[in-house]
Amino acid sequence: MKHLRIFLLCCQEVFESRGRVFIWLLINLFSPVILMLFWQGATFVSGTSMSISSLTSYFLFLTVGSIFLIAHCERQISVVDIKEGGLSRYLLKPYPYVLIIFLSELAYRMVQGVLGMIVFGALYLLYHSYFAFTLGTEQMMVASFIVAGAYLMSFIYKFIVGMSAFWVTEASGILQFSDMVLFLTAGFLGPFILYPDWYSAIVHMLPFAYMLYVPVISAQGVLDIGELFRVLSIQVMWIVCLIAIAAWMWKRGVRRYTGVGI
Amino acid sequence: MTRYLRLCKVLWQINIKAMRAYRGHTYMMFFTTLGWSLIAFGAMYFVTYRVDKVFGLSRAEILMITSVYGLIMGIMHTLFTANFERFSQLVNRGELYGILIKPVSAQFLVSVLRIHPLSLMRLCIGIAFILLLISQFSISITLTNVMLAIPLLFIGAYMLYCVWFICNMIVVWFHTVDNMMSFMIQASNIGRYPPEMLFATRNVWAFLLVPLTLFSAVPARVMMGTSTLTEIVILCVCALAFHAGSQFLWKRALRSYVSGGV
Repeated sequence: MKHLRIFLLCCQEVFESRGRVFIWLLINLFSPVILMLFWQGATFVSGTSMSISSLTSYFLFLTVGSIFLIAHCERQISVVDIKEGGLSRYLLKPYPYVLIIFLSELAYRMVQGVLGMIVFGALYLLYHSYFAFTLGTEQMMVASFIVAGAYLMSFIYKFIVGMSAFWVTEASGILQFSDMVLFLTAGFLGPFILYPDWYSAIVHMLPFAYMLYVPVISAQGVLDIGELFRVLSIQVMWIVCLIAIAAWMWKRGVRRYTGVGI
Repeated sequence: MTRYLRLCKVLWQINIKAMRAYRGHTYMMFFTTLGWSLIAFGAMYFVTYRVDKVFGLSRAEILMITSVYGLIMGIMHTLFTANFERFSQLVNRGELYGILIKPVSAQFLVSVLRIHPLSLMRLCIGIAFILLLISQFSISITLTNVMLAIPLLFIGAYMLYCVWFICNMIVVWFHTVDNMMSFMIQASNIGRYPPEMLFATRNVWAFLLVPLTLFSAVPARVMMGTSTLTEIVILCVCALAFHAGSQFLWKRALRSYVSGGV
């Protein structure tokens, strides 16, 4: 009940700044829509197994996926809470800081996710001939776990990035670096099938593809049930690793925290 | 004019001193800026890796547009981005008042108070990439074309500045929207793609975005000798129209500004 109340309070805060939420939605929509338009005019070199309909649906799922799955809590943690000293008030409360940030971020993702779904539905209704995805019931069940795992991974990763401010006062450089890595390796540019093989191999060894790219192709029905379970197990492995890093950083970071704020 | 140039010199000195104060942040920003500028070109290189033609344009033409886009964004990020990012804070906290009472043009001060010298790296990388393209794709470029493209490049940059300025004025009326600059950067990404992409949609809303593709496409085409006079005229007319729009909105916005901070 306590968690639900805090979550509802966070939702209230989201509705309070609805203009901001709307702009974030536009930001998330813009890039995939532009890439979708670009790909529609492309003629591929021979030997590329990618149709326009599967590309369009990829970008459609990517749009909703990036709105719903990619957490944006790092600036709040690094600037407002650590650099400006806002963390002190949370440390005094009988409620874990990580949970407050998690619920607040979840509220943002859910509200934006709902808006994203509306856009998804509208685009699907208007241009359904361009979309191709096949997803069975079993696949859908496993894919939903993958989506949940992806959100968890994204949140913990951004929490870690935000905590870097414990060590460097001005963390905006690290934040931008993290955005850059995500942009390159999470599938924002398009399906990895269109890129050189070595690039795809490297990207699959990193956790970022499992935060967005893999959930997107899982939702599209590209992966069979065996592959979905393999993805799920990799995600669990990454979640455990990320939690371990986050716990280690939090323990040491709080000791360094001065609470002064600049 | 001399006064403003002297002021620019002082502002550069102040900003370079600020860079020295946070050395760790500056090193990280160096790598991030380098990364993003390489991404601006590398991403398009990967995106077009298996592409033969896009909207009838060859890969070399697309990559040339991307390179010119990189040059213009280099100018924008060096001079304006940090200032526009701070604009919502100036309005929201009532700090714009401090700028308005200074005996120089407030629009000038709002636009160039914070400079990001590291972004000049984007310009250098853009030029290097253009030279690379010329040699790799054997593009024939004449000195006359380059001389004609340079003023158009600045006209394109000025047009983009006016568009960013107009959009940022919205903050004066809607205080909670602090992410307008992120949206504008995202929207400006469309400059990496050819205007044909928007014409192909035959959608009136997509046509509204055409000026945002012209700022990079026209100088790039002039450089390659494939542009038409109509395109050049449209770019100049758009720049003039957005200049008039920005002046008009700035005056209106100042009338609505209440200087009450939160």
